[in-house]
Amino acid sequence: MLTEFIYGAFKTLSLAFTAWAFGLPMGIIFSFCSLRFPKYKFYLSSLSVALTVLPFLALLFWIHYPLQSLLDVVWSPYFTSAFLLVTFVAIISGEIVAEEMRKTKKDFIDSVDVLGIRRDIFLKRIVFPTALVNALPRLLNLSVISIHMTMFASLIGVEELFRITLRLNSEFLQPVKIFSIMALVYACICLPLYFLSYRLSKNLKRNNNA
Amino acid sequence: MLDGKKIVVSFGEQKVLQSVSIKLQKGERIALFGTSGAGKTTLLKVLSGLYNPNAGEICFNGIKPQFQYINSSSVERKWIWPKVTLVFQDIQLFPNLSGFENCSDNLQNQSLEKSNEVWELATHLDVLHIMNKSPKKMSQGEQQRIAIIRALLKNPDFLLLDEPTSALDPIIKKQLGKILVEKSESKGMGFLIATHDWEFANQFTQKFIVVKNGELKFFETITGATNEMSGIQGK
Repeated sequence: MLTEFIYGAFKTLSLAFTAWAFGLPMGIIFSFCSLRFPKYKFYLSSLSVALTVLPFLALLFWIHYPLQSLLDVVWSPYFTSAFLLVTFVAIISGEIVAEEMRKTKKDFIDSVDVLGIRRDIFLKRIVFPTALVNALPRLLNLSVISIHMTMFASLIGVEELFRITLRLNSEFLQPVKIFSIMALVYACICLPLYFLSYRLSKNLKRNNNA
Repeated sequence: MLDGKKIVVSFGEQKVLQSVSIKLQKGERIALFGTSGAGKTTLLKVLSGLYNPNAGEICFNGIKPQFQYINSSSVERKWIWPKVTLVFQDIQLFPNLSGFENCSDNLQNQSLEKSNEVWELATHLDVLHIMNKSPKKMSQGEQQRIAIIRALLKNPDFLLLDEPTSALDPIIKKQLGKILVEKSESKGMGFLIATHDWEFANQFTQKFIVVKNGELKFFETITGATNEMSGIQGK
């Protein structure tokens, strides 16, 4: 049973890792575009609202079944889930970083102008690093959410932690024990991220008040 | 010469500056007084090319600041910065950089650590020991001094300072005054300093302006300015 849980946890982590390995760099590119071009700002904000408002499950089903038959192609459920999670992380993290970049830019643009500092240096040395540090707690929270979202992948057939839990429960019929183990595994993955995010927000608040 | 002609600035219904004119000559040292909210900071921001006045114009040797409005909340500005520069009341050091990095042109400290000028200024203003620290680890007075050094290192023709002595002790204040006067005499740097510190102004500036009811009153002596201010505060 333990081996199966470990396999499920590995699949969950691999989905989450894929989402972040591809989603975060894309999100950062989106945030720069949003800062540079007002049109992109509108697109990014609209997509971010859409992804927050629309149920992830509905999107997952829509991309996995109707879209495949519409395009007359077949791809694996893992690919569908990873693609959607990457999109989700890219858009939401892009919006978070862009928001922090706009705030940092607004806070320091007067200084930068009167000191005659070049805009590219300002973006590289001040806006981006400061925004990333300020966005870190929210990005870590997003990572916890995205790990939980990997659960939905089970509904289109990905053998991740939740799906394995359901299968084991149907075999052994010990829901309390089996779902408690699943909850424990999720907690072990997510708690360190949650505490890191909590500590970072506390430090940021203290630094900003100093 | 930094020349402001018939400047009008309003925030909604409130007229902060009503058609004021001001000329700053090379090497001139001027103190700007006024009660809180009288419009000192607004005047400094207009003169530094950050605010576009509702009416009137600013020019430095015939060059005017340009404002290009991107949208309702964003504006691109262009001028002769840092020939005219400003030290803000709220300091605005870059929080992720050290004192040295804050003061350098490219925001990196390699070249600056070797510069004699920065060592000299930092020693005189007693901040050399914290130049490698982040602003988060500095007191407000220390941050204020670094912000002044940062502006002085740009070798401006005109330096505008918004209450730069508010967090400084008397000895450092005196050092700062001496540095400003020395820059004014040796390099022809003019400065306009918004302050509530009469003693500092009397010791280190030559002319005095009082902002009152959106207008500017000019005085050659501190007594005139003091009397004008006591009149305002007595009312």
